[in-house]
Amino acid sequence: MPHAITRRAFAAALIALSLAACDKKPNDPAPIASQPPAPTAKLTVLAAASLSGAFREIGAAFETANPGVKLEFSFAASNQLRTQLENGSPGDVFASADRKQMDSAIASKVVDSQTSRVFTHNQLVVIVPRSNPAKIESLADLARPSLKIVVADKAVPVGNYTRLMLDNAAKDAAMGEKFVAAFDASTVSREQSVAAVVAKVSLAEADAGIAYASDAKGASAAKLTAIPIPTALAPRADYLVAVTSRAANPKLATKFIEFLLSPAGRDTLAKHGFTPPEPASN
Amino acid sequence: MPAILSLPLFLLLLVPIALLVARSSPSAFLAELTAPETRSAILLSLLSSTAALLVTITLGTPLAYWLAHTGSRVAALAEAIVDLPTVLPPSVAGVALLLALGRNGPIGAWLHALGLDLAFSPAAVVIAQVFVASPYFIRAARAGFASVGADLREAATIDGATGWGLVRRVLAPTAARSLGAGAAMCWSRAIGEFGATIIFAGNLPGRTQTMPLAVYLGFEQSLDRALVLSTILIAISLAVLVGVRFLAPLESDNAP
Repeated sequence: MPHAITRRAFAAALIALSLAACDKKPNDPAPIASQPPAPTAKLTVLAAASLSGAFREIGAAFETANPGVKLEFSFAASNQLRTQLENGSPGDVFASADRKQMDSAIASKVVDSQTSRVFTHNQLVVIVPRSNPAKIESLADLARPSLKIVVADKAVPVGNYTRLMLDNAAKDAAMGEKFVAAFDASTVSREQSVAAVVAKVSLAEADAGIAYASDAKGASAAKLTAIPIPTALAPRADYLVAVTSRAANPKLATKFIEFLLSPAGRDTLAKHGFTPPEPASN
Repeated sequence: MPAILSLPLFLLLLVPIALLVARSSPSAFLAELTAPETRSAILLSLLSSTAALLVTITLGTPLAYWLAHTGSRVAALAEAIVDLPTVLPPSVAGVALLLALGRNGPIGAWLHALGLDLAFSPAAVVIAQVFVASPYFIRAARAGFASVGADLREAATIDGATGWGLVRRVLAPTAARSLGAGAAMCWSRAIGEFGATIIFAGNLPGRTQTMPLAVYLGFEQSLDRALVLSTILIAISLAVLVGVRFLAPLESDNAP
């Protein structure tokens, strides 16, 4: 009998301990940040996979401009990051590749809606391997038979934009539903992030993929060629950023967002293929 | 005391799985089960893992036999290579398969010239599963064959059994339990394969999207689908693991 009680007590203690640990984690950086001299402050930025190149560069500049600040990035598909935030993942800034994921994050109260704003745009493009084995020159070429096209799953922002582009194409006189049917028939995979689309096209395992203009300027630029998609068809990708509700250091998080919108931030984003926001857009 | 000490890890293994199963409601379960994407994922998983098992048994049995009975020093190295996929991250297996068998890889380019593209095909799903799961069969079969003593083989040979007859009449029945347990482990590992599949075979519903891939993508899109498929995967795996314990209680130490 006492054995059983010990066992139960142990289990209870274990659960209590694990709950305490869960509870503590998000607040962990707080004591460090609130120390008056604050020799180091850590800022965790959860950002869409497509931002990785630009944000790494902006992050380095931000650290130089703010001595003692250490930035940490977590890059993944925006939908994955949003799900992580909703399940208690620590993070101070959330940068999403579409409005949908930011709206969901606002709805589930994991970001501060007051701080949410558009900070840059991206354009959908067709990417083909540098060797261009299928000799694709335009979006319309993607209707040719026996191609291998890779897109992102519609759960991922770029996959959602791809779907919208195809919906527009179906209604377009020049492209039409025939184009969309041929495109879908040639689609061999719906990848879990834009990075996976870029990787498979870079390896020339696929003939073409749909990604962002910024991807063709990133690390894989040498292996890819970007073909523009007519602006009437391609929805402009809106990138939104916000401070999370549980940010350990909201002031520093806001400072980072301001840095993104500063001329230096805009220049770096433009260099990586992003389009700056229009003054009125928000 | 050991009972108490064993509790934390046991609970860690049990509780998340139990909570996951408890979370799927019966009505959502039935509704999701009739959705075409769910059904095609289940069907594809069952077909591909069965194909992977058949390939493994056909090609893995001779390999296991050779490993068990060759005195060669190469065998120790060969055994390590056979075991490698069980400790490698499956994503490494996926990248390796894509680079070797993709249309730009040394083997894939040759197949491509023959008009055969493996990447992004259902065949790629099976290959990824064979790569990751076959070691479980080979390891168990090797142990089973090794347990057939030299005296029994000699006696059978003296009685006139040779080649295929020796394997079929003497070795297979004696090692049957090990072979069965290995086959079950191989099949259940194949059905749970994710990392190599999504890289080498991609993800296309109805063609290459197996249950684990649908769980991963469904996790953000449709939690119900992820829960239904997870529950099915858990049920299958548990049935296999319990079955293996009944099938081969003696060889459980050898089974992976």
